[in-house]
Amino acid sequence: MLAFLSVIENDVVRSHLEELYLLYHKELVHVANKILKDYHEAEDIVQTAFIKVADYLDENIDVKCNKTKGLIVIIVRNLSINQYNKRKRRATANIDDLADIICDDSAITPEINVLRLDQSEEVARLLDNINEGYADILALKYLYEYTDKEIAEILSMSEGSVRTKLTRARQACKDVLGGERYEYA
Amino acid sequence: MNMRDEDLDSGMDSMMDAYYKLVGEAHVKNILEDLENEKDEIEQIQISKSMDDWFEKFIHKQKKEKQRKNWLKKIRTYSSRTAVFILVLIGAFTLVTMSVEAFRVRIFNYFMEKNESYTEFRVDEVVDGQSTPQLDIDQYYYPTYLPEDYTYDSYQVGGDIVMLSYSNSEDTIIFTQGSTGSAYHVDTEDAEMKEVPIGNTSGYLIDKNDGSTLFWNDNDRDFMINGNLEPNELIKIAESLEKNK
Repeated sequence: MLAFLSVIENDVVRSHLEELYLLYHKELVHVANKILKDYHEAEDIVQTAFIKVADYLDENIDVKCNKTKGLIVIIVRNLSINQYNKRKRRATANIDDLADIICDDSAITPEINVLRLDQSEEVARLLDNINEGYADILALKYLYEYTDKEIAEILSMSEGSVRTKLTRARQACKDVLGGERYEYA
Repeated sequence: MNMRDEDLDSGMDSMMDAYYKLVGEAHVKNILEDLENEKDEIEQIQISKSMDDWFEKFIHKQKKEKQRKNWLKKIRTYSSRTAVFILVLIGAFTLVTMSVEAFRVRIFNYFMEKNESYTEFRVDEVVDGQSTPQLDIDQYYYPTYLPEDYTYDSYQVGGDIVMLSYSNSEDTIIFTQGSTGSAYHVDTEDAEMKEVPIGNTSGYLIDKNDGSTLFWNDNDRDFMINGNLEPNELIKIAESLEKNK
């Protein structure tokens, strides 16, 4: 099959999906396998991700850009996490344990930290450490601008779960930035 | 809460929304960096043949679906812009004859009502003592010749009208067949129309900039082929028809 795809590599009409598969399928299997520790299951997840992403690919997307690659990686990550949680209920880090993770000066309020734009990557990492899905769902909502309904379909969740997770992700982000004193008013 | 507090809250919400987007961007950058760092490990991965096979089937299905959507879109475009709609106007009417031999007498009248923007073709069949044959999907004609790269795509049945679609990566050929008596409205505005021979019979070719249509009848069926093809290609397709077994 790869031979088949390689033959059409220069074909201008090759679909975005084919390009996505050619470029990223190994990385996606790797991402899923890191979570699931099972190559067969990882391949199943990648297949599911392609089925889902097929409906959401804009015709004008640039398949090679990081934003597109990030989207499919996020989808695979989340589907893998869902699968993992189905297989074995995994205790995720409790938001109450944040104190152990956040090393910021507690006197710094979130609005002050928001201005530290150069720390956004660190904030994203901290958020990802709290719960692997939090940074993902913020990216889908605010970077990729999907609606709650679209996110629910992409991640195989109910809309209610999406809203709950978004609320928790936002709260976790605020807590990362400055703790409970974010409610400044 | 006074107006100023509300403004502050709103401003803070907007700022946080922008920050969540920034965190999203940072997150994407982080996960892609992680992948880059694991590049060597990733290159060692052997993807199973079953997954590649699955993807090949999946992409094939996606393309078919896309072609089907394009085809339906084309049909919709025609129906609104060029009034290509198919309507069985009359089945047939019976002539009571005193003929000794009970053979079917068919009278075909090509009615060509030239309108400002379309021409209606209708073949009315007069059958002695018999009803008009009913066409169903078990009984249909199909072309044995297709221009290069075209393959069978899908079919639709409406009443006794059967529409077969053939496509390549860019265009679609629509082959329509129905029992005699069907009426076809074909866009003839700014079109060149002429009678052309098709095997032992003849038909009408409507040639337009954006495609050609060939209409003919073979005594018990009306046929129409529409596609973005040279007229001689349409005629070759028409001459290659075979009935399914």
